[in-house]
Amino acid sequence: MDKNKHVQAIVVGAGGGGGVAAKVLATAGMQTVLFERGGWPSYDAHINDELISQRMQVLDSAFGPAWDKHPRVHVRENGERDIITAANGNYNHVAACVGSGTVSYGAMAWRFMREDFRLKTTYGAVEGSTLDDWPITYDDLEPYYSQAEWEIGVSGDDGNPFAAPRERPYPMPAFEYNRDGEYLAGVCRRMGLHPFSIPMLRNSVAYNGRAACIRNRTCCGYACPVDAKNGTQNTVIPVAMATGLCEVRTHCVVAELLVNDAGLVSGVRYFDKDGKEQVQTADVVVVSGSATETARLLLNSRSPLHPAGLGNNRDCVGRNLQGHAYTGASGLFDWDILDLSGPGATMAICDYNHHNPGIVGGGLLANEFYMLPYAFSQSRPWGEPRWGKAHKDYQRNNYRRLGRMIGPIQEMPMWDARVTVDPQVKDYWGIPVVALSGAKHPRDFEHCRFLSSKAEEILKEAGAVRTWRHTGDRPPSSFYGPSGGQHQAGTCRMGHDPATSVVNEWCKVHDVDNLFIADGSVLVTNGGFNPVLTIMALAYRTSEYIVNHYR
Amino acid sequence: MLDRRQFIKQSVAWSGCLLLPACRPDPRQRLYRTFSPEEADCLIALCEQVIPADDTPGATDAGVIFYIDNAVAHYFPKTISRYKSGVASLQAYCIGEHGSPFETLPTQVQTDIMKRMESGDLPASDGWEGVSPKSFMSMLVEHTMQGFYGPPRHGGNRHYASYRMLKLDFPLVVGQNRY
Amino acid sequence: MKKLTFFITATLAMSVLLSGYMTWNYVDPVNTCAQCHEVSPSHESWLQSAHADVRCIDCHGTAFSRGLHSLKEKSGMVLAHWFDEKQNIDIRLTEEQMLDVVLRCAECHRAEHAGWLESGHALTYGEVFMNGEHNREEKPYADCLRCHGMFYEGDIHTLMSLEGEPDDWHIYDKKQAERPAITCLSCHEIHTPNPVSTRRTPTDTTSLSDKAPYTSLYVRADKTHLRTDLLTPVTIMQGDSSALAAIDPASLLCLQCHAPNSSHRAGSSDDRTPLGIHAGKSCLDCHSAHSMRTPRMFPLVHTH
Repeated sequence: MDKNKHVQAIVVGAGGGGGVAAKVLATAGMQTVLFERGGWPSYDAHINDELISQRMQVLDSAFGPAWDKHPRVHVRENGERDIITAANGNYNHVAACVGSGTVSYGAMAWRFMREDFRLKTTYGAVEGSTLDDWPITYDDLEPYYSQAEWEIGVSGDDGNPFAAPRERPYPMPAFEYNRDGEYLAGVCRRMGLHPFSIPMLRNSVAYNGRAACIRNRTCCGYACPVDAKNGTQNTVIPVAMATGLCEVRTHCVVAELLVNDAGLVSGVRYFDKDGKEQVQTADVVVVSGSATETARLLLNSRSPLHPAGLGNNRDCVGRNLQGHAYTGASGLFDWDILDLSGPGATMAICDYNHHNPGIVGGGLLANEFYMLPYAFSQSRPWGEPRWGKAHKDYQRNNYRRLGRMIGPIQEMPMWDARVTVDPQVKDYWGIPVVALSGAKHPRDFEHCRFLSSKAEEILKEAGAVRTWRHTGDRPPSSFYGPSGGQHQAGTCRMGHDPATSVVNEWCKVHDVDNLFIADGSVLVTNGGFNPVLTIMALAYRTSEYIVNHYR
Repeated sequence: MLDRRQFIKQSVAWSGCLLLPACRPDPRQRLYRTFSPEEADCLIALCEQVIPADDTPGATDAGVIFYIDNAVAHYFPKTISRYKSGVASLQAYCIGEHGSPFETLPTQVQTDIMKRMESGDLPASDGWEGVSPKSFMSMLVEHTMQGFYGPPRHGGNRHYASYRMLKLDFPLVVGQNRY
Repeated sequence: MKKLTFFITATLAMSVLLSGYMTWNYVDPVNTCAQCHEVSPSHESWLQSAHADVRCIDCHGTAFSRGLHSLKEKSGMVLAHWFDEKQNIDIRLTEEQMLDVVLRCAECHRAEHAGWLESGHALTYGEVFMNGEHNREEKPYADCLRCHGMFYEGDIHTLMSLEGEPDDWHIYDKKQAERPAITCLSCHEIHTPNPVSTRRTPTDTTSLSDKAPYTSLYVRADKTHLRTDLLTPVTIMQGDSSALAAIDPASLLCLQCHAPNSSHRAGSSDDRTPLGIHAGKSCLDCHSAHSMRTPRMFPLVHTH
């Protein structure tokens, strides 16, 4: 096993959180190694190929991971265990490349609302759920939201009356609505709702030496052809590298966090791009591998002081796995409501995020990202023919006539919705893989019915000739499983009490003094919002703490 | 300069080249990677039922069979045996019941057979090893949609047939801000 | 003695092979290349094309047309036939092969080639990507290659270094920097079907735009040509109504790169839709197809 030169910091995973952490540490003068199991994303490797895009993944995953090398296990309701790849919906896949999901995301840049940090206080305990307050408040995070917005680049305005107060304005003006956004915004205003232009991690004007958005259709699920979408791969990671202090080690799979006799993390054991086992030591380690892979890495790091995995002496690691059920409604219009000016989602309302009678939380509603032709061929109201002339006619007649209002529902965290490591199945490198088990809370389906009925009301008011709802309340049995998906969160919960949480309010693992987590894992609750900006803001806050205490 | 070993190697290659005509009796034989010409004929008829031609191209014109042939070879090798078993069993059924293979049956008869496959009514007593008529049908429909509506780089959607039907400008007509 | 025998046998074998190969090159391709499944579809489209009277070797060359280079290339093809499971759709010209073909285009189409050389389209990669003024404003990205470098095999990061300041950026391969970025094959497909009845004759006086449906756009994303009469017509908007935009195939071809913004507004972004009294005119009504020259200058065509 080769030993590398000791560094001050290691960051495992170059996604939304890890990229930010590497930047903060390196610019503060800390010698840092940033590990990534994938490579640098290449636009030309997939271009606008719907069948391998992050949205569909029919033939392959454009941004990794390789299907054959990274299996997972899905535990069915009856306990049977299936080995699955990223081709399966229940794999809960996150892109494996520098930038990870921030390369191909739809780039909505939401700040959570005050209530999102105080769910238990606001709504009370929910039976069967581990719903809780965060150990920090919106005000603790506000400066870091600003930092993320300015350093990574967000376009937006103050059109959302429900947004929590902000100190600094957005660095770029908001995007204009597309045709359906403009029309549905008018309908919403007529209904007394409060539509606004969605804040986006995309350039509405040229910013940071990169071009303005060209309103490409193949945006969400794809890399940007003109580099106008801001991910960590084209913002903070290049800044980190330019310091000369941050080395990005791609195609390296970290197998284990190494622990010394004092119970501190001494470094990582990893497999380099040639499959050779190596060790890298450091003073401090930040794990940012996504809610599933971070939990897996901690659970796979067993030592005498942490026999059940690092930070897992209280059996908390991997629990409370959450994501977002996407719910809402679709409506067919008798005129072309879509102008296909990308990426589709431009208009949102936050009227239903909180304080809905009988509902814990809620969610935003937005007009949706465009479906490309194959996705559209799979999307039909119940009872429509799945093939033949009638299917073709539907496709031809309705492609530009489908209006949608969709949003992520605030999910109720579940103790038993969890990531474990499988006792038998191992990946290409012989590392035990993620096993996913548990289910969603029954209240989630109730909440989806609520939000989708609101979406349907809007579409009916808009004059849709036919509407149907996406409630997710009748999951086919094959989709039994915990929530997660690309918004996966919660598996290393932040909190004051080591009996119910994994990290403290600075995202430091409770009983390991030099191990931090900077990804969705630490989120106590996942909001009724896309979580990426919150993950970035937390990573800024955590890394600043590391710089102040460990440099 | 060539050394002796290289020279012999290349001579063999070149004389192989001269012998080419003799070893390719049926060019159709090599049109597909996975399927025999007979299997392909049946699949072409099935796909055309899934997306029929009208005033715009259907699955056959869009070359969906080449997508499926290519996709199962490269990406879904496990489905090859299911396709082969499904096609053979379907043909056996058609010959037994109607006296001729699927692709030669009248359109309406083909549609009826496929509807029965979809609903699970088609008797699956003979053949259908590793695949039921219903699962064969859903696999076929899914792959036909991918071949017709996916990008042409995988063999189907010839000349962007489906994008043109949807009046989608592909490649995207959008300027880059300055020229 | 042993050496001599080898030498004689080798010479004999070589001359038999050579004469065999020369004959092979001059017989009907139906009996030779087109026997192979990889080649037969291309042979069929060639038969339908305007170039049906041009032999395969006139464009593709033989094993000896460019010395060791072509010998290596053609023997590689034979080996690939036996050892690679390739189909016609898998076979593409490399950028180098494409440039070879382009040189051969110029042998017959001299006037067109000369026109192209004096046009703004005869840019090299170096001229496109090392434009300091542009680079200081905006970093080159992957999609530049959609129009400027359709055949480039790689992406922007393999083409050039984008580290540091714009003045530090450079194209890695000097040879690449000198290659033309927009060539004949960007807008033409040699194998494209072209019925004899529509071919232009020397005495033909009809507008070139009516005669030019058989240009083809090279779509970098799918690595394939698309006949321009199959391009989706685009409605160009002027104010709230649609501008009278030409939808002839030639203009649609130009529009692919000289494109408007995503709301397809006339004059926006890179759009050059003629407006005012020139509305509805095809690009080729004013511009010569290869030199892009206009017979007279109409300075306000694209704005009024």
